[in-house]
Amino acid sequence: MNEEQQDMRTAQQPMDGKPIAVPPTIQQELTEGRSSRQESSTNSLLLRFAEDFRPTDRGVTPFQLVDDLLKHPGRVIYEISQGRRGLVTAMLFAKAVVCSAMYGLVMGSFSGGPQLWIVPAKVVVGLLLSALICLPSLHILTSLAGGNQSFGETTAILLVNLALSGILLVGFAPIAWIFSQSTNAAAFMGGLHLLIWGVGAYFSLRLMRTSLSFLNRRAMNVLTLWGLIFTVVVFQMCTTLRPLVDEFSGFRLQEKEFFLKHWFIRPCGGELM
Amino acid sequence: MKMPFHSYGPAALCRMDSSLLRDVSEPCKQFRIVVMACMTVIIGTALYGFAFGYWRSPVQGLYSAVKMPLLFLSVILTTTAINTILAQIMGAGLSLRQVTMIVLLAMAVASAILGCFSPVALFLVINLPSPDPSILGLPFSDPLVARSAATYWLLLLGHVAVIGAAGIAGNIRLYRLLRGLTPKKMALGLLLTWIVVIGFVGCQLSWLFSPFLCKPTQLPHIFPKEYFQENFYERVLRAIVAVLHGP
Repeated sequence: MNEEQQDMRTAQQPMDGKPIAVPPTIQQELTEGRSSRQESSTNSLLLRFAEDFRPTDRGVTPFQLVDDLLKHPGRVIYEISQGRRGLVTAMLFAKAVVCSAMYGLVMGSFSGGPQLWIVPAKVVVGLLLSALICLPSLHILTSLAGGNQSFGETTAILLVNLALSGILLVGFAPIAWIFSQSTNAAAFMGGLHLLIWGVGAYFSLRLMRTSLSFLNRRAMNVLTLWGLIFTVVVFQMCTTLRPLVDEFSGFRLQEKEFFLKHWFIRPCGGELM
Repeated sequence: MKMPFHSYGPAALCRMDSSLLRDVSEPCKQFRIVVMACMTVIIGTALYGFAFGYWRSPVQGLYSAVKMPLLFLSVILTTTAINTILAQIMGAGLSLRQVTMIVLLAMAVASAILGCFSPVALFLVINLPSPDPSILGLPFSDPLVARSAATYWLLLLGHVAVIGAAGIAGNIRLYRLLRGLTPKKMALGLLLTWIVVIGFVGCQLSWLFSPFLCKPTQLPHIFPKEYFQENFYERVLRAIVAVLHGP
């Protein structure tokens, strides 16, 4: 741990009964309220983070974690960076798995039969594999942008992303279920699921960028690039694990296909490879 | 105080914060930094090399995994002497040891980026249609080759773009390092000079070490003899002449 990191962490250590110090730049904006960029959404998120950056009030429990992820994400990030990282990481992992499986069940209900259990398994495995594939690039890109996080912290922050996106997917599940029961168009359902996943990914990536910007006291714009890479990998994973919203066609993977061809070029009547 | 080896791991090299810049100037810590930088170059480029060649066949992936680290290390070895001379002529006052370390660190940053993208690259490559075995031995311009050739060019462009982006990121870090060791104005001039030298030599060496991807009409191979009959720039010139006047 370098000196700069040590200083910052010392400053953020909770003192008995005393308020927790937040990074000086954020603290200044909080107390003086004179920042020229205060109106921007990123800044307001950072300020919200600074207010919440303390241990959770009622301990780390599965339901409290959901509540904190939605209302006080700073508390989750505090636990990851200075608190009970192991416990929180395990819970985030479990949350990501359970929520993805629940949404997968709704996806599988479109076709029914064996897809009811195969699709949840594919969604969970696909999301976790995509995250695993993109984890090294997340760690190196944040380091390149000046981030001080260890590999374990980066993993936990990625799980925050997956868990929040999973919670949002579960929130959208009733809507997806209504559509899946009222149409036979697999292409429409595929597009709808991708749209829902995109909404979840947008909010979870925004949370991840804010978390890393707050912890490192610098803008982490590099995460936009990483978000793009993650999206490409998820799209390709969906293509590899198909069919997700169609009839069961055996346990073997289908013919190799590039995601651009599957999702964009072929539906438009084009040919690439 | 001696820092453990992992303090100079790929993430720390990419971060290149003030503590690392300080340690670069301390002879007792230089050995550890050099060892970690070399390991980062070897592992990072080997991983990406494997992803590069895997599409043609896993054997070509292994060949490329061996050749890519050799290419990066060869570029460092062949350019260090001239880069040191240029630095001294320009008045930067950098020693051979310092120049070697600076260029090695820049290459290590580029290699770390390549290494971290190798799982993504490999995953995408695995999911692309494999080359058609029936086109082996056909001329590359044959209509039957068109389908596999389209994938080949797409992959080649993609890999070149990733390697180029990693090189740019490495050079940005090189500039930061140079600014810490030389006057600010000199750092930019020196960086541009080094980029020209490294780029000039790097293109020729990558030509000599090619193929990394291997055409789908050829069997996987390490060093084809015909590549030693002309250099990279002669080939480019010939291609330009062919475009302007026809083959």
